[in-house]
Amino acid sequence: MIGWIKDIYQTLFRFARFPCEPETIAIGSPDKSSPILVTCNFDYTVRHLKEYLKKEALDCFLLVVNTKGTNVWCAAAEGVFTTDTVLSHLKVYNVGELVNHKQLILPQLSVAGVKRKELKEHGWEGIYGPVYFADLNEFLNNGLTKNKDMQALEYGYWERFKMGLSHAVFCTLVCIIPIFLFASDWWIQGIGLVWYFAFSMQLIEHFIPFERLLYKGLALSLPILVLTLTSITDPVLKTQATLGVIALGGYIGYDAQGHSHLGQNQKSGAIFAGMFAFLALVYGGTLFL
Amino acid sequence: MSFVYMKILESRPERYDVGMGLLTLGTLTKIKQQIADHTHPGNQVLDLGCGTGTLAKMCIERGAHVTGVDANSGMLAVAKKNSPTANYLNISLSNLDDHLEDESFDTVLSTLAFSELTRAERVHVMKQIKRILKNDGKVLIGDEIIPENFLAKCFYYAFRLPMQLLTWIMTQTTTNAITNFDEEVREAGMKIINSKSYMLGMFILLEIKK
Repeated sequence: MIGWIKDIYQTLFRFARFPCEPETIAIGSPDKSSPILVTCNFDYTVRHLKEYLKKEALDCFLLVVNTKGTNVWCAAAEGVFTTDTVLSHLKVYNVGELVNHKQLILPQLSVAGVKRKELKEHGWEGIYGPVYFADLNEFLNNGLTKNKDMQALEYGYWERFKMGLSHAVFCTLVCIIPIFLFASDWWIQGIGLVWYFAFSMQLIEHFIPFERLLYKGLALSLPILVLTLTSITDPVLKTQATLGVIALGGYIGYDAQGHSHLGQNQKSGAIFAGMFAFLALVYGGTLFL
Repeated sequence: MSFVYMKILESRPERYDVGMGLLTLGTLTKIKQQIADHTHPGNQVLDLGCGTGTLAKMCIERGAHVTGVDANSGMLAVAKKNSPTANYLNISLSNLDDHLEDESFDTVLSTLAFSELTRAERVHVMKQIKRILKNDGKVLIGDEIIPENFLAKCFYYAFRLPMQLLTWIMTQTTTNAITNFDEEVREAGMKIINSKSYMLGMFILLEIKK
C-alpha cells in the first residue's frame, strides 16, 4: 500500500497497534564491523527508519524487535520493549554471528525498558542513540556521541496536532453512542465538541494554568458553557447541555493523560469518578422536570 | 492508548481467563484439562506462556511439579496467587537457554503461547524444548490454527472477527492463528505423534516427541 495512506490511518488510529514482521534487516552492504541499530516493530517507525537509512546510504543491521506493534516510547513504558525482548531477538536471529563487535545502538526513548547493565551481563554493550532517527547519521559519524540537540525531546505543534487527531478519533468512537443516546438532535454539535476538546487538549493545554489535565479540560469547557447558557432558552435543555459540556470536557481532559507527554501519573481518578457520578445524578434529576 | 480505557484494562490479567474463555467458547478450558490429564504425580512440568496459572494449577492438583514461564509480569502476579506452589520465570520464551538445564522436564505444555510468536521465534523455542525435554518426555501444545477446509475457513473468519473485537475490548489481548506448524516442529528436529481438532478445526491439541 502507498506509504502516505498508511501514514494517515496509522496516525488517525494511533491508539491501536500496527505490527510489522520482527526481523533482522541488512541495510545497504553491511559487513562484520557495521553498526547494529535496534527499533520496535511499529510499522510506521520501521517504514520511515528504513527509508531514512537508505536515503543516507548507511550500511548497518536493523533489528526490528517484537514489541507487538507498539512504538518505542510506549512499549518501553508498558514493559513490552525490555532487555529481555532485545536479548530474545539477538538469540532467535543469531545476531552475534553477523558482526565482530558487541555494540547495540538503542533508541534513547527505550531507556525505561532496555537496561544497559542487564545487556552487559549478557556480553552486549548498549548505547543509547539520539531521540530522533534523523540524527543517526551525525551520531554515527561523531563516534557515537550525542550533542545536546540529539538528546532533546520536542513536543512541537505538529506532534501535538497528530496526537490531537488520534485523540479526537478515539474520543469520537467512545462518545458517539452516548451522544446519539442522550443528544440525538444535537449530534453534530456533540461530535464538534469532542473534536474541540481533543484538539485543544493537545494544542493549547500548556497555556491553561492548571497542572491536572482534568481541570484543563474543565477550563476548556468554560467558553462553550457561556455560549450554551446564552443561546439556549429552555431551562431544562440549558441544564442538560451544561451537564453534557462539563462531562465531555472532564472526560476528554482526564483521558488526555493517555495521549500526552505529561505522563500517566496524575492521581485524578477519584475526582473524575466523583464528578461523573454527580453529573449523572443531576442529569437524572432533570428527567423528572 | 486512551487513558480512561487503559485504566479499565489495567486489570486485564484478571480478565484474561474470562476473555479467552469467551473467544474460544470454553474450548480452551477443555483443552487445558486434557493437557493436564497427561501429567502424573512427581512429573517435572514446564508450562510455557503460563499466563494466569490455570493450567499450572490443574497439573499441580494431579501431583506434578510445575515451572511456569511468561514474559508478562502482570500475568505472573495473578499466576502466583492462583498457583502459589509453582516456580515462575519472568522471561521471554526465546530466552529459555539461559535458565533451564538440558533434559530436565518430563512434560512441556503450552496453550495459546505459540500463536503469539513469530515463525523464527517458534522454531527457536521448539529447539530449546528439544534440549530441555527428557528423552521419553512429551510436549503438549494447544493452539489456534486456520482450518484447511474451505467452509470451516469461512466460518472461522466470520466467527473470529466479532469475537476478536469483543475479546480485545475486554482484555486488550488476542491470538494469531498459526499455519504450517508441523514444518516448524520438523525443523526443530521433533515429530508430531498425535493431533486432535476442536471447534471445526480452529483449535488443535498436538502431542509431540523427540
